[in-house]
Amino acid sequence: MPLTYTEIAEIVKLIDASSLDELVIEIGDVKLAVRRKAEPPPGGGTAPEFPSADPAPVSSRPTPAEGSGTAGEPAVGAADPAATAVKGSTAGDLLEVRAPMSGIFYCRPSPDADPFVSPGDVVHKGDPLCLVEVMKLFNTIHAELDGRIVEVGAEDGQLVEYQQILFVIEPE
Amino acid sequence: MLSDGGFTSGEAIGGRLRISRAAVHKHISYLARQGVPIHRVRGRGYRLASDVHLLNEQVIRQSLDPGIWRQVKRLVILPEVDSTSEWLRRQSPASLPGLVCAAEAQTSGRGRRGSDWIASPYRNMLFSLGWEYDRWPQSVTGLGLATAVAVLRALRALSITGVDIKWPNDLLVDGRKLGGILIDVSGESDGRCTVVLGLGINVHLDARDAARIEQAWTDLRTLTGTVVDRNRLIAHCVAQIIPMLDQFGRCGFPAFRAEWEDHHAYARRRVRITAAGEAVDGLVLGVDDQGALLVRDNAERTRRFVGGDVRLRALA
Repeated sequence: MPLTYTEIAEIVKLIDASSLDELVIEIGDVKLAVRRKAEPPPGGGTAPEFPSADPAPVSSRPTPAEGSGTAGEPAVGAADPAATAVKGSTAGDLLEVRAPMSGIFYCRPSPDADPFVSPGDVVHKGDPLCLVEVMKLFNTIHAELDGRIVEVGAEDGQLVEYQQILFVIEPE
Repeated sequence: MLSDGGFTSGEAIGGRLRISRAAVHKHISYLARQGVPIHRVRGRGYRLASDVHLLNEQVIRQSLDPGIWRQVKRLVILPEVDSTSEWLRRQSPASLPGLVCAAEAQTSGRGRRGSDWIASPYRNMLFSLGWEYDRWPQSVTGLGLATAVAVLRALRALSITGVDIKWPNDLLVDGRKLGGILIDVSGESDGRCTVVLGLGINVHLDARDAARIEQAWTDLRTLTGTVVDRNRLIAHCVAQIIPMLDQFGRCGFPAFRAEWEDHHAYARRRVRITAAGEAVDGLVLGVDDQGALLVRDNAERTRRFVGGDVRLRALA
């Protein structure tokens, strides 16, 4: 059973919040190993609920394991859990789009409209991806490059945390 | 011609516009079908209902301080639009700062997430204003709350008092909704942030439309006993919102927090909050520097609410 990118990110988040230094998970032929660096990350890994000036943080990550066939090797040299990568295909960098603020995630512009994007869709720089609402302030998150949606990380109407992964995009 | 209070004959109107009486009749019938309240009396002519002021750019401009007017790059008045905020969002981002769109009627005015905002044509103040920041303001989440503060200042400048704010930014009079605010923001991580601020205020609702509103409502006519000219109202709101946006860009919500608290409808009240299916009873403490609502629950814990589908009502 392949782990999705979001699931891996969730696992990393759980470890980050825990006192564990190392975790090895084996599910079938998939093995995931995460090791914490000796030094804790700055700020202890707890982000403020509201960033001061960080509208749509996007971070580039190495490609995680894709499909069960490519996994098996534990991650090597896992450092700061928030930047832990899982060894796997390195066909190209994937881009994470993270929640700029804690709020409600909406995948469609209005309740009766089609979703902005779905997995597999090709998006272009500037295309709207979703809305995050906080206190009747609707923040439209746009694609910052051309690419293909690999994964949507939240459900419509779900409360998302600051920095939670909303989309994974494969740049084109 | 129609708004001077007296009746004007079809012949006189036709003479001014150089069209036939029949053509005048046809045009007036069209306007009436669009909801323009025009009275017609056989043998005397036509006149606009005495309590209706059509939106007029010139009147709005004349009511504005020249310093503020210079910051309004363009003012667009539409007889009808889906929603003024949607209209702004369709414009090029470069044209957005200082662009104001007001409408006589909205066909799909938005409340929060698809809740209809029912507005009688010609009887509500509906406008949106575009803005841009070079970088994201601190505590941008409080921008809607700061906007409510600016609107209250505008109403006070028109000698209208007695309006409170229900968190985060509904305008209330004795618990009845007078108006609402929705903010759309977007931007890139390189720092630029565009804002579309939408505002609706009930001015003098039509009884038939009012009957369709599913919550306790009120309008400015009920509050003041007079019909406020929507042009002056827009001008006063713009005159307060633009300096607010400017100050917000520099100082964020903390600069507006105390004034917001002064008008908080539920200050120190016991409330029931329903959020994500959970009901919490507690005492309202106020808002924090991000505009989140702070409530002390019955277990003496301070709970923080940031919105989404949060429902709030006062307990006895």
